[in-house]
Amino acid sequence: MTLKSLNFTLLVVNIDSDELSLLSEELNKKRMMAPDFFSDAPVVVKVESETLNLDYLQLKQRVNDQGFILLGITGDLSDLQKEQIKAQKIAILKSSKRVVARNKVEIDSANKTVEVERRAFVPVEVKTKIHTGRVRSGQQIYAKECDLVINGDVGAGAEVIADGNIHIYGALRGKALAGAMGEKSACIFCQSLSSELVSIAGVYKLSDDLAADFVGKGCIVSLQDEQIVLSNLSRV
Amino acid sequence: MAKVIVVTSGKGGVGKTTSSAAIGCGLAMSGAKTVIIDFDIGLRNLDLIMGCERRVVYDLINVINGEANLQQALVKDKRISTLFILPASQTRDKEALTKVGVEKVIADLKADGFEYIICDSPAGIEQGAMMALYYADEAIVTTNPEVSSVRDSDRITGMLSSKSHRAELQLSPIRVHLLITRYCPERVEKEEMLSIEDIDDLLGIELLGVIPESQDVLNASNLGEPVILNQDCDAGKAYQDAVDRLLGIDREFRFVTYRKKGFLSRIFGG
Repeated sequence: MTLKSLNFTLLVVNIDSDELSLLSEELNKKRMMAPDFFSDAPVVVKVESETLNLDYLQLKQRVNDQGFILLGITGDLSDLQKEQIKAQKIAILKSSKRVVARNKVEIDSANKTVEVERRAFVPVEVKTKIHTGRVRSGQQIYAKECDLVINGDVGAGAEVIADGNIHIYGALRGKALAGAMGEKSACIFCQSLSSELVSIAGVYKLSDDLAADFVGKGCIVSLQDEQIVLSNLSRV
Repeated sequence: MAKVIVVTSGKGGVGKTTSSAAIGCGLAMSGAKTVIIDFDIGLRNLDLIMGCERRVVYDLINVINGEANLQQALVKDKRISTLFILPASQTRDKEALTKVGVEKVIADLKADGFEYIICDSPAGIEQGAMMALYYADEAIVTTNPEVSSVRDSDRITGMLSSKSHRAELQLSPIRVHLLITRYCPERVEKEEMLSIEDIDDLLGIELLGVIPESQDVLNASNLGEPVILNQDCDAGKAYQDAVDRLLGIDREFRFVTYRKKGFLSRIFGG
């Protein structure tokens, strides 16, 4: 038997209104997106304001009614709030300072906002995946939840994918997909662009559509207004 | 120390068997005991190129299945005393090749004193090709100067560095050499063909040799005489250079630049 500390990615629901029906509504929406995935999913409720006066028993009930399991409550809580939460035997979670909120979905309903943070996770120490050497045809390299650095060419028929940015110190002749989980600010940097395909957050450009001025040159590929934009590497 | 060298390419028809035969012959002529194994089960060709097709009794699969021993299956070359062929089976399919079986055959060949074990790979990236490259110490990637062949060579080079015994055990990686065949400097000059520089740019593999396009190669295949035995032709000389480089001898690259024939040489030949 060993005791270990592990990090988990949890679903966090922010509430800044004492109208608990909004919470139910939001969780219901979430569940309908992927009923199997969210069935009995653990969820943390983040109380956004110290002044909120909530019925925590009812809160717990509403979370359960929507098919989620309430793990605990977090936020900058007042002493009174803490006491009330403890009284209902609900855990209080201290969120780490480094929590990153991604893909905020804001829903405005009658001037009251319920905010859902998806994929709030504690970043691990290694944030960049580095690959040294040529990536050859048929090989695929994926950098999960981080940037990817390739020190070498990416051959035709090879694929490099990252949830963050992709840096290629060499020629890009294959496919490069940055922001694979939907991060629109992700970019692709390469020293010589002759890609089969470049994609950022699912928006892509095939080799036929590359402006001839950029082919074979150092390039930054980014996403602006849902369009793939190429810019010169040295001039920026 | 015995060396296992796979001759591979990914793409078919680029000259793997021709090169296996020529390089195997060249190594054997240097005095080293050499065997060429045909891994192209079901489509055996090596025996034809080597001109020993009428002397094949047992084959690689028979040895793997224990139906014959190695000595029975090895075909001794009539021209070079240190050269042997281990033919492929024409009647079985590639699934008959197993890692355990291939490992044993290679170990037995090493124990028998063979210095060079040349594995002639079939085309593709399936079982037969994977088995041919699995136990390799060195690889000769054969490429024609055209894009599809180069891409397939890139793919197979990736396999060499990820799917081989050396890769799986994290030993020092397979040493990869590039052999460009059917090179035609005149067409490169006209930009109808990829140049050596283009190929190097796309593959980044150390160049072992450049074999010029030549009718002599086809003639040699039809005669069952490996082209390296014909030292009067350019292809034969180029293969000899490649073998010398493999043995660590420095050789200048020949037949790689196009020289326009002058008026006189056009009339008098040469």
